[in-house]
Amino acid sequence: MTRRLVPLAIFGVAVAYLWAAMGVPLDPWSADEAVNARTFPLVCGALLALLAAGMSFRGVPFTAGPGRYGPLAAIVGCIVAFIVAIPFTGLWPALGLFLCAALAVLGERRPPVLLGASVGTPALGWVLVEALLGVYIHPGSLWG
Amino acid sequence: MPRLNSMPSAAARMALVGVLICGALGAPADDRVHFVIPVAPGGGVDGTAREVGRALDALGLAGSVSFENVGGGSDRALGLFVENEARFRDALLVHSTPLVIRNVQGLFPLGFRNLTPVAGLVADYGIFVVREDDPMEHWKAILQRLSDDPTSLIVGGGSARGSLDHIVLALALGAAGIDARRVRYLPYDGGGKAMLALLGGEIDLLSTGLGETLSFTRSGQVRVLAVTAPARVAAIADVPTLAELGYPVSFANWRGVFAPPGSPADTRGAHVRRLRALAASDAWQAALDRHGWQALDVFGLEFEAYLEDQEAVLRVTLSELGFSR
Amino acid sequence: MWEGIAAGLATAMDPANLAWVALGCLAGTLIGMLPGLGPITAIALMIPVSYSMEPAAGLIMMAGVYYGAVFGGSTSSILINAPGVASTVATSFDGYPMARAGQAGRALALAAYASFSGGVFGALALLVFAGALASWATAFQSPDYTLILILALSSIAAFAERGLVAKSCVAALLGLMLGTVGADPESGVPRFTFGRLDLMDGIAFILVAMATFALADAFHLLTRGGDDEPRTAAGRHVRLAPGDARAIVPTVGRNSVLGFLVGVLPGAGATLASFFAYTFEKRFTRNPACGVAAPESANNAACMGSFVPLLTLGIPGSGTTAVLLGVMLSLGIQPGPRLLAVDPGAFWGVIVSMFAGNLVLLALNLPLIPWLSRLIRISRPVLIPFVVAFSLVGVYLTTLNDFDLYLMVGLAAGALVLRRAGYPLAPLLLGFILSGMLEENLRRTLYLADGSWASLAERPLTVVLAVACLVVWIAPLWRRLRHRADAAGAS
Repeated sequence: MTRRLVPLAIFGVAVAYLWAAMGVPLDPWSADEAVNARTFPLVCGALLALLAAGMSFRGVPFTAGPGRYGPLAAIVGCIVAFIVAIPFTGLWPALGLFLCAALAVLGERRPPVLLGASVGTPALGWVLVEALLGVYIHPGSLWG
Repeated sequence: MPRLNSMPSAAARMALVGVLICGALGAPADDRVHFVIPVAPGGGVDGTAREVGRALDALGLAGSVSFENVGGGSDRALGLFVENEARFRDALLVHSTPLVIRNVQGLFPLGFRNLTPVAGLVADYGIFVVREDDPMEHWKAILQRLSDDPTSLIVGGGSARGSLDHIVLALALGAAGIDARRVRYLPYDGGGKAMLALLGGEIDLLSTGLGETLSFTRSGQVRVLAVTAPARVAAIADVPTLAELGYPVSFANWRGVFAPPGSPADTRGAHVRRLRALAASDAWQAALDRHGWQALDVFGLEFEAYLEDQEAVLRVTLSELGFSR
Repeated sequence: MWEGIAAGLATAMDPANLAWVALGCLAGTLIGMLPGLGPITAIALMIPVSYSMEPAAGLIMMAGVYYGAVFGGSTSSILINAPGVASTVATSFDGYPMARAGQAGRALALAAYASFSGGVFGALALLVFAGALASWATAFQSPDYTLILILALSSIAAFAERGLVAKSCVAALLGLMLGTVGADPESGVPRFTFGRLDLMDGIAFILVAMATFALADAFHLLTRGGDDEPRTAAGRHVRLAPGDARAIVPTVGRNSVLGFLVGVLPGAGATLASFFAYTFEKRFTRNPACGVAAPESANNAACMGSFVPLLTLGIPGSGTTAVLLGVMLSLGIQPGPRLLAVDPGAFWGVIVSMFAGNLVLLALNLPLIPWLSRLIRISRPVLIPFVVAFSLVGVYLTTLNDFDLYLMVGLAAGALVLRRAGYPLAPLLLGFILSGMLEENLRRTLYLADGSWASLAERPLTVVLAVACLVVWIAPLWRRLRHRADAAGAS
């Protein structure tokens, strides 16, 4: 089954893309031209659909062995929490929290490492990017 | 001898670190000018913002100047600026003519009416360029060719179909009674690449902004046939305006600054005073000369009226030309 | 010309200007190593420093920032598979596996020496051919670009390993499709944005690069859990392996020439140069040392090449040189055909200063290598959060938009699926990078041809490129057929 699953999924992506490409609005001043905003996407989507259909018909070897998805899910959870936090806390505090949580999730327990990473890295980032290089980043709605 | 007085500027950055650490406490808010730039670094709008900021700083008209390049396209930047009142309360948005064009064409619902116009500072005029060895030495020769057969020339421009460079071309041709929709227009990614295509012979005529290609138009490898300015431009004083040639058309790609929607009158007044002082200064004049920009100098309500005029012109011509939906 | 070069030498060797070039290179290479900050941002950030400077000194410094950032950009590609700049993507193909095998120091040293040689060669070529090559920049027209881009895309598929041709093509097509998201460059209509303003400007390169390379790789390592590959302690040496120097000399030589010539072409630049260099080099050798040296020498030579249209025509060929053009104008230097006559000191000064700049960069980067390569030896539970943070912050700093971060995680998840199913991701990134350029040039070509293909065959350059495209597709087929015939004959 896995021999065909990924090519079939890609085929689905290609069909959805083609459907979206047909719905691209055309400007009144270029609608009557042979080559317009839809042409290139339609060509790419059609090629991909053909290729994926062929591959799912023949079946292709699926090389990966079984994986462990627990740590991955935990880290993705940390990432999503990080993104949600940015508008409220600003980039650097969110980064500190993320590093602390991600390190802890992956089994790091030494307090100096956790503290150093979650305070030191954002501080270094702030000094380099905002203070020294003068990039403006919104500080986050919590601080006004 | 090279001056070494830019060390203080590096030192000033270091000092800024200190100020920022102690800061946020007591600095008067109206002394800081924050520019929101709706495009990535590089190009005319970004350059305008940075030159304005530089001159304000040099003249002591602002306590500190900061720039924020909002990525992800000018529509997104405009949306953010309009909707996040608290975040952008004292900020200035830098924008240009596409603000009006995209709105008139119905490509984006927000326009200058959703902002508080503060000042139009820079005007960049459209020019029409051919290769130096081209037998068509005058704008009239181009018009003759195109009215005989609108498809006989390939015209290139530095922006998408139906946007700035194409519209300027359509306005100029429309004034001579030529249907611009039948003229073959090829868009390029910027005036520079379109200029290379002109030199390489891929296109016959180029419609672009003067500022983007100034150093090249002065080189003698190309010939500028006409400019869309209301009067002759000093940087290319031998080039006639369309009006001189008998076609009463002028069009500027303006660049200006806006305050957030519903800014109180005194905030707007303070911005206007500051930018009037800027426009009158030698430092700003020098910046204009370096880039080959023309001064526009319309402020506050005048700027609003200017934008309304431009919108009216665009609304009529774009629907006549079939460029709006 | 010789007087000009002498004047340039005097300008460049002025002690103050030497200090500026060193400062520019230092700032450029350090900013280039930070997440998400490539040459464009590096130059933009250094603009305020240049304001109060003498024009020639300012230009020399800013040029140093530019090639310094290109020089430093390869570091994160090699160490953690996180290419922050498109031109260093190809460096990660062989560089990252070397680093994972405990040879981070060797890979970084190779990159440094190759960058240095490419940069010096490029500066030399600029010195000698700057004037003559201006017409090379205008010789290429839309049909030629279309063919070059097709050549680049097909070479990566045609030279894929056995059994991976179809998967490479799928990946490249997915990349092309990702590249079509956003406002259509020709008419401005939104495509595949689903009404979201965040997508109007398209998906940022760094987002796709970080998602499919760094983040997907970190995810992949997480799913592999315990079965760690043995980490050797050899990461510390800065030296090249014995035989590397001899192996890479011809590589660096031919790819510097290639890189410079491609770099002169507007729009093509360092990215195409590095991809071409990598695929071209793989025709000759399987040595990973050459796989690192080839793209690095090519992208640095290309960076020098991009100064040709900028200085001699006043026309920027890439986003980076467009920012540099703005800097030159605000310094009061008018680049273009008259620069040579009006301001020979600035023109030749900046070119001559590039030799000094490359020496500075080599001297700066080599001592950093032991420190940087130590990073790779950090234990995995500590390293992975940092790699993830590096790539997220890099993307956030580019657009300051949290929507992009969600998109990035989604893309990384998709990339992980593809990767575990054995699809190579490099063609996807290549397809994404080239998509916009390919479509733009293809549409212009079709518009110009207007149905008649004969008009395209009139120009010799176009014909040569078309033949090259055909060869790339036919050669592997031909080899396979002959292989089969031989096997049949033997049995």
